[in-house]
Amino acid sequence: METYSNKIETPVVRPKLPSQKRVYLFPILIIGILVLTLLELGIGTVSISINEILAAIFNLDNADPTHSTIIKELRLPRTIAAGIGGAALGTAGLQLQTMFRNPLAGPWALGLTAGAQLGVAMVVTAAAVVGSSFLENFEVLGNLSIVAGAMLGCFLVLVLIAGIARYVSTITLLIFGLMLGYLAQGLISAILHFTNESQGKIFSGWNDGSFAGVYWEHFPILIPMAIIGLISGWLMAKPLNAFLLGENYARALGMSIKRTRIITLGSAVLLAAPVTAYCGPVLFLGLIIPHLARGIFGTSDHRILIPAVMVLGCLVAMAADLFVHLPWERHFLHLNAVNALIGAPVVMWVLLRNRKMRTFEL
Amino acid sequence: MDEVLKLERLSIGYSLKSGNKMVAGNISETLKKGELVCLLGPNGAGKSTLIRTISGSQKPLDGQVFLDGKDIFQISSRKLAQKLSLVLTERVHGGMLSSYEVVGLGRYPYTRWSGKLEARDHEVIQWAIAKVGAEELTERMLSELSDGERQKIMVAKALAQEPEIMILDEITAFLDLPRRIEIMQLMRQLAKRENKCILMSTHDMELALKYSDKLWLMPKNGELSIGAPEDLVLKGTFAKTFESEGIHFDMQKGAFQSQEPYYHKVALSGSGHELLWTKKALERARIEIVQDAEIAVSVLNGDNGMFWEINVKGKKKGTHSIYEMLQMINEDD
Repeated sequence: METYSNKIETPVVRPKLPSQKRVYLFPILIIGILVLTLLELGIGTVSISINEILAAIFNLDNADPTHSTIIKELRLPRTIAAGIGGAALGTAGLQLQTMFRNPLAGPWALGLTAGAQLGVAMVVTAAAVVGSSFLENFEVLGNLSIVAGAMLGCFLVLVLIAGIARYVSTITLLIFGLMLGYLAQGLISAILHFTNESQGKIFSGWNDGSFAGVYWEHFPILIPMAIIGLISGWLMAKPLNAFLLGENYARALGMSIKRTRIITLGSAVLLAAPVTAYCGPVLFLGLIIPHLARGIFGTSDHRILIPAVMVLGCLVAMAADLFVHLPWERHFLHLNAVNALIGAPVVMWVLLRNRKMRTFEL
Repeated sequence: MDEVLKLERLSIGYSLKSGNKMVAGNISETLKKGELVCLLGPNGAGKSTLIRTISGSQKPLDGQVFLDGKDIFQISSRKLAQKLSLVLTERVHGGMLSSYEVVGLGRYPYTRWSGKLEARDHEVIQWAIAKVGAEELTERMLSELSDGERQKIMVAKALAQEPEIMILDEITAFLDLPRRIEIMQLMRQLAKRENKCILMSTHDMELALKYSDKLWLMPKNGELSIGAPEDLVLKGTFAKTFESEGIHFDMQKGAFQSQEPYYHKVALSGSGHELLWTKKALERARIEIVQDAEIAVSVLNGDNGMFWEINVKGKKKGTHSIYEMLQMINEDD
């Protein structure tokens, strides 16, 4: 095999890339996640010390039974849900941003969350009309049907969005996604008219978005889906990198556009739909986490970005959740309010910084 | 064998519901290693359709394209990307990828699923960067580069694919003249020194005439003419292709000429560089140079530097600059 180095007249220095310079951030972020986990478990209307947390988790004899129940039945599932939810939404957001070449894409901005909401509303209403109360009981069947509804809604919206994305500009696609969201909200109100009051109440509680509604029985569905979604997302890092050069160049590099699109968008549905089904619509996280990851790691290389959005998503969602359940005197903060407080400024910053988005004119 | 790409009775165009719309038909031609071929033609003649068909991304209406003796549409996309690379007109944004990483994406058809670059991949990348002279750009983000620098990086990316043939679709469209000449010279070097086969579509008629080994001329009627630039000039095909576009090709000067009428006639005398550039200036100002005229211009190179003397029916004027000389002639109305 011929060698190239002896053909080079001027030696080219292989630059140390920003992504390589900053890999040390991963252990720091993981330590951050561990610290936040302890805070999530310890802080709340009842404060629980680290010793008690460890005692409860490892079933030690000296564990206080009440605290043990609070930790194991309420706070631990909630913390895990926040971690998985953040990682899943962040990854889905990154996939959508790269696939649609749109810095403001995300499960919520493109209407995927609304599609999932609509799906759940339809399942809830169908359940109420049929007379079975599976949402109240949370049996396995009800559990599955909600996820199925969310996935179907999410999938249909994605197909629609992917269909029109080739014909419209970046901003138009976002407005289209927002309108799909409003449309779904309208349909949800109309559909909920046919449900009974108790189902409606449960739905509106869910509709606020919170990691607190997730319990152990949801994990057998949530975790496998999230893992499949995250792994298939990670496997597509190389094609996603080629996608940064645009579809034409990606194809010329030997990439199958169709295959990449199906796997990546399928993975995004697998990540966004179950999280929405169990936690309700969680706004902004999917959109802002990829930007934070790019900013912190200084690269668009998906081989770094995908693990980065996972750990950062975990971290940010846990922090937001912790902020919600700090022992406030009155319970007034919702998860989405916290998300909006962090998220909206990020969106504004992206709009102002991005030349193409700033100069959008009619 | 030096033959890389072979077109056999190729007809290109679009399949529409109402039938096929043929852009050009019955093209039989080969592309060889070490040759720079320029595809020239007016807008809308179908250059892009031809490029898409040859690069295997659009099916021909009829005929076949062979790459190394195999039907290009039977080659897997990965194998194809190892033999044929593309550079396009479009401006690539590239997010927060550095130039080095973008050139690294040229190794896409060689790397495994993770896209990890091995030592040899890095050698090829560095070789490609050195070839296009982009050593200074490696650490910079692609999105920060100027149009010319960015196209150089995209050429390096195409080189990193280690292709036998590179196809370039109007890659100089956004560039200024020095950058266009630079890219043209680069392409010539890649063809000659690296023994690559290069097909490049362009709007730069004069650069194509000057640098290419072969021209593919594509007029609007779809009848492709192929040959050395000089062959096409002598046969008159070159002039004919662009005549319909309202551009006149001057066979004497080997350049495109304005068809604006002359405004004045002068008789010119002088010598050396000064005479040559005075002629050019007069030509530009549409002043005809004749044997005998009422206005006589003499170019002198005396002790006080260059001097132009204008003699209008015995009245003499003079100046030290061509600019003023032209003004004096025009003022004479």
